[in-house]
Amino acid sequence: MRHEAESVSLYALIQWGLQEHTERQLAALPSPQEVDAVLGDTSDFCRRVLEAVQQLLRRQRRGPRILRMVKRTVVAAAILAAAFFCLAMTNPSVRVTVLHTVMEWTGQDVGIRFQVSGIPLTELPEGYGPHYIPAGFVYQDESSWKNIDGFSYGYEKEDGSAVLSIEVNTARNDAVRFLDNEHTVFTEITFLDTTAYLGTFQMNNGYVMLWVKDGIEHMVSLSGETVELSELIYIAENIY
Amino acid sequence: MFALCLAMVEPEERDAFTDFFDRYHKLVLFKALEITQNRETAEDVAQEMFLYAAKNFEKFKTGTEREIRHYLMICTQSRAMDALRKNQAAPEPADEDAAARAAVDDTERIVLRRDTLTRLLRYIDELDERYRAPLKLWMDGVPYSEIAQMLNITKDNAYKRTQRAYALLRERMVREDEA
Repeated sequence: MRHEAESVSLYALIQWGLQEHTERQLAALPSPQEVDAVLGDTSDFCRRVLEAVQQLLRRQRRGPRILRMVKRTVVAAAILAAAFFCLAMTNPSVRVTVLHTVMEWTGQDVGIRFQVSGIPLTELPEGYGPHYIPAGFVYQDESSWKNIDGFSYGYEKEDGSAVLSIEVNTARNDAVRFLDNEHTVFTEITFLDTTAYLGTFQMNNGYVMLWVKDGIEHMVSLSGETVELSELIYIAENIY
Repeated sequence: MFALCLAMVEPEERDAFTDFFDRYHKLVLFKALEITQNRETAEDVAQEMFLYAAKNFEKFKTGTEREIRHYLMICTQSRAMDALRKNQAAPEPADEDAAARAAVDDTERIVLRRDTLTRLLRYIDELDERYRAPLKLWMDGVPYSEIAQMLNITKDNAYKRTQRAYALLRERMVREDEA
């Protein structure tokens, strides 16, 4: 009787072989007792790694360096914003008055708490958002969020050479934030008939602008080697 | 005000990672030590490994026990060998380009013989870990961009090494099969 040789897919065979190899490697791993005998005390190592991880996670929360510098600018801007906050409100129904500004210094960071009174907007107007994003910037879903009373949109060029961040919120009562406070020079400018604060980064090329209009706070930051101020202004003008 | 609050890492996230670390740190450190044969270098490698895991904790949180151990081993091996090469001042082998020519052909068939599986496992075992690791991940369905992150190599190298690994295994299997 003739017996036909069985043929199989080479791809599937290699896939099986790799899985089998992995199983054998995992099965050959030493027992916890063997590992303990080799490693001895690992408490110093554990402490070092967990500290490093905690620092990393904290930095991740803060975002990249550029974003951190943006945040630093917000400290100065927030102080200035407190001064003109109520003046910027033209509509009495959304007028918010800053009663106190409480600052808490904790190392390199500063915490700012605005205690305000008045009737704030409860949500952003329908369709409120950026209507111009420069070519080449890609929306970053992971770093963006949106609620009825605010949003934060992140954009980045595909090659990572420039970053754009747009944050908009209705004025909120008793909010606090912790920020760094270095490396940005602020100028007071007039923008859309209101006072705005323009920050220029000192360590990288970039700008941040903050202003309050019609009960809505805005912050736009743009940074990267080739970005220009006129571009940031045009982005800001097209938030409505 | 703008939602730029820089709060501490949320406690539940921190606790989850601490549990993960407690469970696997000795295994990772052991693997790194096995390759580098130097406690200090091994600790650096293991630290780098857990920083990577912290950055990409979602991937590890959702994996099965087998997947987690497998990925931790592969990622640690890659970083440990990298550290070893740097410490010995050995240059990165420059054979990546030459090997990337063979695209994976998943329709190719081979005659199954009595010793086929044994041979295949031997060839896989003999394959350099630099090639074996990306091929394993790729066969698990991990995209090249993630392979690159996991192994701390460029995406281009992840692609080339995967192709190279497949080509090497294919060549040996087919050659001996024909012989």
